[in-house]
Amino acid sequence: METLSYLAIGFEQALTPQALLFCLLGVSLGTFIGVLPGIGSLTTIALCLPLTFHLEPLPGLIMLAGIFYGAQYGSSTASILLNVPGSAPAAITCLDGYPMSQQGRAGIALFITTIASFIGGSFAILLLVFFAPILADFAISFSAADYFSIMILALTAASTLSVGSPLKGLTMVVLGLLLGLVGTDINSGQFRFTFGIPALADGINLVALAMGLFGVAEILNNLSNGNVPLASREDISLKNMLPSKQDWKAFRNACLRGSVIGSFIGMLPGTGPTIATFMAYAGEKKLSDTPEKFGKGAIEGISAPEAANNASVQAAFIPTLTLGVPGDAIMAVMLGGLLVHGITPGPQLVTTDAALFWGVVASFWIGNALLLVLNLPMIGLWVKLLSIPYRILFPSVLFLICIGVYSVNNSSVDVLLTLGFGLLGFFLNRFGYPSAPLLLGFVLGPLIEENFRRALVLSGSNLATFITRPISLVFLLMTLALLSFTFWRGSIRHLNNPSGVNP
Amino acid sequence: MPPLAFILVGLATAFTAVTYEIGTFTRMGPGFVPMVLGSILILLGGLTLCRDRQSEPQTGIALRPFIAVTTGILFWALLVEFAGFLPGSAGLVLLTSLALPHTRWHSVLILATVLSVAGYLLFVLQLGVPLNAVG
Amino acid sequence: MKQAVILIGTLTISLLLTACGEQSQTAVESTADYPSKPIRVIIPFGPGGLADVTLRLAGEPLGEGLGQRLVIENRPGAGGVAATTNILNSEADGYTLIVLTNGTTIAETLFDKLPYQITEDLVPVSSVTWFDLVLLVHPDAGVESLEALLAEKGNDLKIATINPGSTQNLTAELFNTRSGIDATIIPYRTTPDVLGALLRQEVDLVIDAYTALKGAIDSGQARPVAVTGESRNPAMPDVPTVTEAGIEDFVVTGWNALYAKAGTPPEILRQLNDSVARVVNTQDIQNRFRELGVEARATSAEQMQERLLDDIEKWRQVIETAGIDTL
Repeated sequence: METLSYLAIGFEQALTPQALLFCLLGVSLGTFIGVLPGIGSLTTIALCLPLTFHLEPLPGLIMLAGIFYGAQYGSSTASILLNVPGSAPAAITCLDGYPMSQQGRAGIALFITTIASFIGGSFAILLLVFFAPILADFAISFSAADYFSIMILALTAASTLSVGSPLKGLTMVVLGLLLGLVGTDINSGQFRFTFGIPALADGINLVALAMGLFGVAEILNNLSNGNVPLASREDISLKNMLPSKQDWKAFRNACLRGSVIGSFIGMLPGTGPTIATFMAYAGEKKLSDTPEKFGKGAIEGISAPEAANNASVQAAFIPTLTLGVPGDAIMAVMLGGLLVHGITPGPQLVTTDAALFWGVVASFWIGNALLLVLNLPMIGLWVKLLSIPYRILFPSVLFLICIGVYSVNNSSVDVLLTLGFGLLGFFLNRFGYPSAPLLLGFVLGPLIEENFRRALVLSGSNLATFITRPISLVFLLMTLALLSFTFWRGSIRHLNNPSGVNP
Repeated sequence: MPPLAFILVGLATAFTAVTYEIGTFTRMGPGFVPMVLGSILILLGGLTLCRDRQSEPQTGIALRPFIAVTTGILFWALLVEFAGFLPGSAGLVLLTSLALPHTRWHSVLILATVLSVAGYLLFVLQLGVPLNAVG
Repeated sequence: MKQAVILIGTLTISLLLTACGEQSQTAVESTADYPSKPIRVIIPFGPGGLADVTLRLAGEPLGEGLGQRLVIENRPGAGGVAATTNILNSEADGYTLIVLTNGTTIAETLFDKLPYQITEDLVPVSSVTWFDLVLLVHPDAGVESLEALLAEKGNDLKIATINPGSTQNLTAELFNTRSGIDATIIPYRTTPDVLGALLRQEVDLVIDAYTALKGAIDSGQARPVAVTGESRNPAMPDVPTVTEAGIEDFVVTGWNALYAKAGTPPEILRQLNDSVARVVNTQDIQNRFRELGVEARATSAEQMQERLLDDIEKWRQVIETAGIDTL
């Protein structure tokens, strides 16, 4: 098959010592950055971009890509061990990863997330290699109405994220939606809720919000309780890291589902890994026979999101490399880097510069394999992190959060926002308001509004567009199905459980 | 207490939203969605007030960590561009370390130094975040 | 602990492999010794964008010509506020420069309550890059020319651009006014989104920078029907200008220029202007810029300032007519 011969060329390119070195550099740096709360792959890639100008295009691109997907491997580490996400999408892994850690299963959790990341990444790479053109065309055909319907489905999934009072969960979603609207309205150029502050004109920074809401709030929570968390004496041997047989089965299916969801969301331009991880988690919880174990250390609760995370990040390359349409802000930066070398990204890249294209694709595989080899032995090291006294750990984490958030836009306003959201999250959590729904609302809100209004402009204010477009119709029906399913299940449970205990 | 806050926020949002153009459902202006969300927030706040009557936080909120962390981060954010990365970071570590009682100054000072220097090497020199070491 | 060693080892290698930017803290020298230390160039955009790429390309030879390195600093942020505030907090000694663009002149109106005045607080060095915008249609749409498109669609015309307040978007507004039709302008978040809209044929026309869509044009995904400059773009000699297509009083050319803080000694400014002009006129830079689809051209300081003021006024009118909100 033609593709395989291209792949061969690609591997030839990607296996040169120089390419391998930069791959290793990229994925190591990516993992390291991913582990550190605050600083994320976008910032790192942006900062490393100038370095690639002095390199050949292929090694440079390989390194940047390595940072990108490498970061997704590392970001769940801090989530699991400290309940502080390494990046916004990793916030979901906190929900079940941290409880696992508290149960003395941190090693297993880290092992599982690493494998899940690898599976998710590999799945998306397979899609990229064999189906890229079809998928890219499919992805680009999604119009505003279709995006809207997908986001509505995602929003409905948000209901699964709240632990405790559904009313409070819903309130947080709405608050998140509102916070997402701060900034410039894309459809009219109107500044909303900016109060004359230029730093808010671009909206609230996602990293600032996520780090504050989950990172600073978590630290405040622990300090306020006066108790030093974890430090469970875990025995780190390979045997203890491996999940049990039951774990494996749950894990395998969750991984697959997560990979599919992640790949799908990832290849749509304009969405991001955060949405992918949320939807994967919600999907698992809805499909599970025992949803009550979520939030308390469910294997599916970390494997699906992690697979989705890596799959989405890898799948974002599909429209990027095939059509020249970046699937992500990070892709756009990387493509910009190509301009300096005189390479204009676009669909012709596949044909005119086949060696470059396939070299990069081959490097994905190599990179993921490298990450597996790198990360597994490090699990022991990370778990040892737990035994660092909290009085040393928490100022370090706060420090990393500050510099990490600052480095996104070189803005201290963002750091102040992080503090603000930390305080907000802390207080609200104390009163029983969960943070995860707010994050989801924040990410989805602008997308929902923007696409709804744009769909109407495109259709000439015709509401029927949401059902006449087939893709949109499918997702709206899925949303309806999800809602009915939830109510049906809820009423069945009510019938079986007349005492009214809420699972 | 939070339900009241939500009601207030909802009201403020709705009032601000009116100053932006509202439009109609099929031709939404920038104020439409904020208005709707603000109203929902008021509604939810009201419902929560009635149903989950919880005026005290579930566990107490200690004052000391709250002050330590807030001043620490404020210190960093406000000073790092004027006084430099090293003083700012050191200050952050010192101030936030006050959150826990029985501060061991010995280890705090070492931690402050190590973090500031290592952070400088990694973030400023290596990654190129535009901040000065001092000043 | 072996793992820790590997980790630290990898990091050390990466530290060694890349150049560490040292920051020299020498005192300000007299103007006769200028430049005696690296010069910071602040770009109000993130890396990878057009301004960033062109300045980096020109930055190397410029640094060589001046005898000191040019250090590019990215300080993105709405309206260029972060970048401008930064340079205004530095000394007016010629060691900090800023890149102003077309967008700056727009921001003057959009962000009118800022604590500084671009026209007073900054002084020009020279322009560096000039570029046109291009109007594109879908290749299968059967559109022969811009006039034909306007005649066919009239007020049903749908134009896609990036966000309101951007040069591209305001160009579309200006186009609307000058062409006499009432097209619907649909804003998207990024250029790739705009391209996507064109590929899906959910809009008839797209207006964006040539460089950003060069890949799409070269590969046949999009067809240019007009350029917005005063004269035709050498990269697309068969494409008429908008004026040629019959729309009067419509010329939009984007630019990037180097500015310094007001109060910088005039000798230094003159030295910079000379160096920029020399570098910009070299064959190498001319070629590389043309490959990107832009033009490398320097101007005198006075010409640049004149252009700045003209553009501020021009866009102010467009913003008012379009009714776009200001901060």
